[in-house]
Amino acid sequence: MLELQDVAVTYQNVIPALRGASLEIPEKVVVALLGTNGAGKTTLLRAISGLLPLHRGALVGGRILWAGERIDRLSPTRIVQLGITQVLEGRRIFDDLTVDENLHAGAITVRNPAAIRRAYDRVMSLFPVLAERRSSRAGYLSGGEQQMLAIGRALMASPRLLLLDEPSLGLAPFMVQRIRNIIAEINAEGTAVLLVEQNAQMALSVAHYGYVLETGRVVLAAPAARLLQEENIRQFYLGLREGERQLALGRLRQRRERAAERRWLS
Amino acid sequence: MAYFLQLVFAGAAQGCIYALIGLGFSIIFKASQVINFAQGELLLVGTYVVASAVLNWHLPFLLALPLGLLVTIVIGLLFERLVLRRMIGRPPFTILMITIGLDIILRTLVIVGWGSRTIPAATPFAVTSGFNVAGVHLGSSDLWTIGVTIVLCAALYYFFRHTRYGLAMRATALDQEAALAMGIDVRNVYALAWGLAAAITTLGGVLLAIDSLAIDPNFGNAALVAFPAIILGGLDSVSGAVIGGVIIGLTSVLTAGYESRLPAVVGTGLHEVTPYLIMILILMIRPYGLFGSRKVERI
Repeated sequence: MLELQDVAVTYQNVIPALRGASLEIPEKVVVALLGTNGAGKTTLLRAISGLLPLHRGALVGGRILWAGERIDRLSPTRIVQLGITQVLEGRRIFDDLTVDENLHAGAITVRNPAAIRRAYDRVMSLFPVLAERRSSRAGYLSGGEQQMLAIGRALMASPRLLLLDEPSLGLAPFMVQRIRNIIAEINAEGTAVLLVEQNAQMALSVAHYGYVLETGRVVLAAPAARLLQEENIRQFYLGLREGERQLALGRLRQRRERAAERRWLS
Repeated sequence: MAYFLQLVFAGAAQGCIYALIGLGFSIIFKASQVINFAQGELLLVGTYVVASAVLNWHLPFLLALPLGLLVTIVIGLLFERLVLRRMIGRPPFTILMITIGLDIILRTLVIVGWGSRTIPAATPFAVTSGFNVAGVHLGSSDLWTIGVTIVLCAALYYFFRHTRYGLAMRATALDQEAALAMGIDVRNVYALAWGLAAAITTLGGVLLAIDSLAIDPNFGNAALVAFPAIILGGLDSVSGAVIGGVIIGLTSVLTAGYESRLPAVVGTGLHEVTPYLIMILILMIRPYGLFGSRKVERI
């Protein structure tokens, strides 16, 4: 459904962030995107959602296809209308607006009132907490509630693909678990998800497939269950053995060539 | 007592004019964190167009006014389209400097087009029209100024609270990137802000011109007087701009009315200073203005 082909991105014309990353998200599937800070995960999401120009970044190579059509030159508005919505890292809710106003801001591209109503009811049944706090200021919600609001707001556009950037960031473990279950539930209703996470354990537990990004390139791609077994991943991202960062990095690099062959085609 | 009420009435009317001009500043600031220094010159062009339309082309005032509004809206939109649209995501300071450039260009164009002489302002009212209530003269132009301001504020309130575009503008003001990610077309929001601000400011300018009977190329400096009003109200607060405007108007007219009774050492220009004194005082107590937003944070 979504396909990134050798996507290269630089910021301010000089700083490379992606150096030819390829990735594929089939319909109705959860794909996890792992990697350390600065690996290019957020840049990859921005490239998809059209937010690069805001950060003075530009696609300098490759292309992004959505249902076979190029979308890498389109405006963020157009991309949302086509069915891709991004939840930014750090929640980024409109804190002076009420919960309801936040949700309706998420439906700004939707013209059909019946569709807005349906999306609204769906969000309310997914997040009963939000239903209770409809008219309170979003800035006063707890961190977990704010994350739910951020996801709910994105769902108001009824996307076919949801891009989630670090939804577990700064949340308590039980809340991380709830967010994980919500992602599974959203996916069960037919929405594909691209999940960027530092919390690899959580991400791989809900994802069908995973990619590992390193300095702007995809170095590993495999079904999530296999990544969970993968020795390097266990050491490097799950912290199952301490102090072997360099070793793990080295091994990941060696796998780069093989990774291309292993890319999963739906 | 009648004298005091007369001053309050005049002060309220003047405050409404500052409020309208201030609204122009705060709408643009809210949308894009930019203080538009060309605001005064937009107002200048608008009032000149209205004056010319009435005095030279003999249009009725009620046709001339929309024409003036249209001209400034078009200037605002063109500026947004040709310049600001390329500046999205750049530091506000850069954009601020560009608005100063626009300010100079507009003022020069007015001097080139109309000359630097003082010309009479267009007015639909006879100077003495109005009626008396309990010894207070309620002039037509002042009554209209207050009425127009109230109606406009109500309309703006409805627009921001209950319409899609209003919601889009508020969301963009709070977090531009999040708004973009929701598919809000930030460019349209900027265009809307500039169009709205240009029209409202021009309306304020035309009302002010009716009050002062004549205009010259320095007329745009009126926007500077509205400046303490918006700072005092809180730069990013639309209702703050209105209340700040009224406070400034009342203070300045009341001091003007009573300063002759003060000891001679104070002099006669006190009313020009009091708005700024009030502004400094209020900022000392509330540094973000009366209604400006301290960021909401959960506790």
